[in-house]
Amino acid sequence: MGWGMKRIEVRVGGAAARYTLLEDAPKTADAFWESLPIEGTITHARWAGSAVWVKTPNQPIAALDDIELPVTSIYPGTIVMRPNPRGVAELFLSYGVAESRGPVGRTYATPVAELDGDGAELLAAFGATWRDGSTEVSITRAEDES
Amino acid sequence: MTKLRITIDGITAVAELKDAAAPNGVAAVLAALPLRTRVVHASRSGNCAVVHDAALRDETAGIEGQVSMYYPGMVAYDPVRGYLVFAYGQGQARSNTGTHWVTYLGDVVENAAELAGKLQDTRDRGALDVLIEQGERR
Amino acid sequence: MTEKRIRLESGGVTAEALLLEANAPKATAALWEMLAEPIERRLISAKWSGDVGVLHPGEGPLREVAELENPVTSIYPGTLVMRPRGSEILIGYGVGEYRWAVGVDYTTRLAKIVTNRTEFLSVVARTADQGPSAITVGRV
Repeated sequence: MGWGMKRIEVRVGGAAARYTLLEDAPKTADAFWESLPIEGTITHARWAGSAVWVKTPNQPIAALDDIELPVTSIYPGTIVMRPNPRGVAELFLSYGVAESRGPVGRTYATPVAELDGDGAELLAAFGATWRDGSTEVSITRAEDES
Repeated sequence: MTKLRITIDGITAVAELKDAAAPNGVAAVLAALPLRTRVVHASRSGNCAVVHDAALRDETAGIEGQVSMYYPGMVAYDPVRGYLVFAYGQGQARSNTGTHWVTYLGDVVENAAELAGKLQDTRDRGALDVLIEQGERR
Repeated sequence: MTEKRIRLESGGVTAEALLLEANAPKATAALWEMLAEPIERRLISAKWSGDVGVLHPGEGPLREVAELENPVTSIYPGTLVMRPRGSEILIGYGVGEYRWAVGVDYTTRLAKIVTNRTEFLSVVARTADQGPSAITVGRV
């Protein structure tokens, strides 16, 4: 099966949308796929702008320690993965203009998935965490995809 | 010395303002008081929370005592955007495309730790109500 | 809204890219207007921005688009971005980040390649070691 056919579903409360895994960083995308499902808490970014983030200890994604395709911009509707030396993977899910950033400036991450369609309801749920606080997220393989 | 009283979720802290170094900014903020509004965590600027209210906008005030970096307990002011920033840790004035300058308006001098806890809470709990009043007359 | 696509041809390879109208309504409208007739330009390798090919659109409606729309600095593979006023259009084929002599700068995303992506990006990549090539850009 081609990379373009691997799809996941992201759900926050009653809002859900599908994403397609990106083919440009196959090692990271494969590790992400093998680490699903991911359940956790999304919190609004402190440094990155219009994005939420969740950390996961799931393997094998949490074991990755390199940035396969470094980007700092997180295009709207994109999921990127940033390794964390504490043995977890940080996933950032953007809903607008966002960058991988930290206290000292821009950082880098690997893009792993891109939103299908506009996903307006899910992106609104991400944005709502800014004013309403953290909430639960689930990231699963899309049911009709292998 | 001008003081601000900042009340969030039952905690009141006091900040001393830089009357000499930032006279325009102090005047612009005082003109907006008392201010009942919301305080929300920063999304690009790190460990700080922001009061964003049209009443705080003053395009004539200019940036005084210009700073970019925030440290714990610092109060900063962006008159063009109408932002009053309360830092509880390290932060920086940042926008979509980089960093920018703001006015160093003052420092929290009473109940700083308690206020910091509430500011940090906005990250997980979302926006909170805030009341900002003048503490003492200039 | 009907999706608008542009056609890119270089080195005997043709690809189509989907205009990102919701992301950059002003810039994509100006590009579409500019491409009423196809344009032929030189595709060259970026000097500062990494794995990126660059073309200079020249005079036309893009000159009027002075502001950034949803600014980005990273140029993902298969993405076309534009500097304000259309001074440059850049096509990412690997690790790309818009930079200039004094550091990182920002661009607006215009389009993403949706057909023949791998083959076309190989052509763009060849500019790095084989020099400039001609590129034709037009409406689909």
